[in-house]
Amino acid sequence: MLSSLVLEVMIALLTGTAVLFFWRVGRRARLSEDRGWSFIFFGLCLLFFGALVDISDHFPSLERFIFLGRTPMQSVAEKMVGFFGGFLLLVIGLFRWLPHVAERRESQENLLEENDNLQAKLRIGSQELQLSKMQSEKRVRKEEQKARRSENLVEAVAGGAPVALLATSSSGLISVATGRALEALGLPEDVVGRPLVDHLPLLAEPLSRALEGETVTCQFTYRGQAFQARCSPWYEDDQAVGAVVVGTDISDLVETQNELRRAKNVAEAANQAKSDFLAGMSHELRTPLNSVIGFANLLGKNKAGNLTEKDLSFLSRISENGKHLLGLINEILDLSKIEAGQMEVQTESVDLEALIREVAQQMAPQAREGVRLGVKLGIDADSDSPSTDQILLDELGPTGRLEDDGRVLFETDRGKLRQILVNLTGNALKFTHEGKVVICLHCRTDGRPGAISVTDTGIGIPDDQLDTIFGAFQQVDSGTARRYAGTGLGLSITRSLCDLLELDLAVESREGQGSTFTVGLPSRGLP
Amino acid sequence: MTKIALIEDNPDNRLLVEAMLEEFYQVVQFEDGPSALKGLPGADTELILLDISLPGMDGLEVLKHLKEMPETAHQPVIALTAHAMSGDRERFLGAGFDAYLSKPILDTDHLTDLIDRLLSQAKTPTPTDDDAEP
Repeated sequence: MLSSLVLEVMIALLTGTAVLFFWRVGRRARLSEDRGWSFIFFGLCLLFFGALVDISDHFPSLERFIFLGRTPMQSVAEKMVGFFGGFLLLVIGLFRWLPHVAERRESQENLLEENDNLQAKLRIGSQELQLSKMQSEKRVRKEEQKARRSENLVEAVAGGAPVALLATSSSGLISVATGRALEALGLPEDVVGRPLVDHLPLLAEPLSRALEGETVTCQFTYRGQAFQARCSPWYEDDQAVGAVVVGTDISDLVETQNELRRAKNVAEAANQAKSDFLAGMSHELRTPLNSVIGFANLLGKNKAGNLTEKDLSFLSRISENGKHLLGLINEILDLSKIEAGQMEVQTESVDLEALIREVAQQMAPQAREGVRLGVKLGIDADSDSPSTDQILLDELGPTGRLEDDGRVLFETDRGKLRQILVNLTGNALKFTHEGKVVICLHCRTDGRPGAISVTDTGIGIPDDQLDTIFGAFQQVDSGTARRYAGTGLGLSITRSLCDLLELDLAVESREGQGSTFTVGLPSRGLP
Repeated sequence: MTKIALIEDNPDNRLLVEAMLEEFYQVVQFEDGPSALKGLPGADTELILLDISLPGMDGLEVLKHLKEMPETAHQPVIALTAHAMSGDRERFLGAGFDAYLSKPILDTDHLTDLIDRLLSQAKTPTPTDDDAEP
């Protein structure tokens, strides 16, 4: 009895719950799938009550609960309605539910696939990320290497050379400080971040100019050492961000310069002393000669008329030798001046034809009897001396004229070239007893001057003495020295003058037939 | 006889110049600059021969004083000197000497000609070339 009562209560509760559930779920269900479930559940309830259970058989006590005056589902029709209704609801529920199962599976598969795709994408993405990370790391490493290298270079330069490299911000605060000369400039290691002018007030002005975009170089002394500082603006991406100061310890350089200056002063003083000595020598030697020559000349006038011919010839010898000595002194001093580099060269445009005519005119009185002196102007390509036989004395041959007005010009020191030609012509006349002496201006085929030669038909020079004739105090031998007057300095001076004017001097000679001295005129002297 | 002053410290040279010129001029001699500057105002000379290397005051300085003194300012002054290196002649003429003659004096006539020329120029003051060859 009790068990049937419990069962009855349970059935009642179950039914109530089912109705409530169906009602609630059916109302709230938004998904047809849930409704499917409701149909299935309700269908099963109807099957249980109507078709599968004969309640009054098993639960007679239910007869006390009268529904509509009798126990429910007692008739076959009611059982049939319950069975089929429940079955129908079950089928509808299943039909509603099953597509959802398939759909869910499909969507689950889709999800999985999607997931796979995502994962693959993720994998690729992460690989790419890895790759780009590696690349960027490589780039960074490269940049770092480059930066390190340039830093090393700066260190090497700054460390090796006596320089200090300083960079400042636009407000003048030190941002970089490196280099061997930092210490010499009195800059401590922790100078970065401090104002530069606090440490080097001397650089205040150049630094402010550098910050305004100017590059300034200045020199200053710090603790007895000389420095040069170059202050220039510092740009980053075309943006002025401060200034760079390169300080160089130039003490060694300055010391070298001072030494050079001292040496130059010493050399100049020595040169001046030499010059003073030469001037003094000249003066001191001339003074006694004044008396020697002057008194000999006075006596030679024989005003009292009591001197013999012999006396007069003695006086003449005193006078002549005095003059010879004067000539020697002049020439020695000239030579010394040339060799001391104290002969100044004053270059001008020289009319060569006029010059050789002038020399010939001046020297003509020195020619011995029977010796003719002439000038010639001729063209020859290689500037060889012309054969004297072809020379028309005192006549000018066909000429290559350079200037429109017919002048043949050459840039040189006129006075010194004149002295060279006077010396050579004087020599030629001195050693020529018969024949001719010709001063010849040789022109190149284009009409420009090539050389001036002095050719004589004199005694000539033996081959073995051609080399020595330009030395000081050289005449061919003591025999000739007696026969021919002169100091023996003429050719030496001539050669020195040629060297001074950068002209070539050459000699060609055949003993007993004559000599040719040629002064080559290099083309750089041409106007 | 025309009076000519000779300022020269070397007695041999004084003697020589006097001997060369005594025939034509009266030579008034001074052996240094200060004595010449002291004695010249009353000496009534017309031309001055002046050595350069003088003790104490050199010829260039003496010349400056001579040109400042009214008695001597108009008198021609000849540099008679053994300074005969190249450039000396130009230097002395540039300093205000009227002529330059180097020692040794090789030819007496040359000296007397030069003196005569300068004297005649001084008497007829026309601008002429003072540049006499030694």
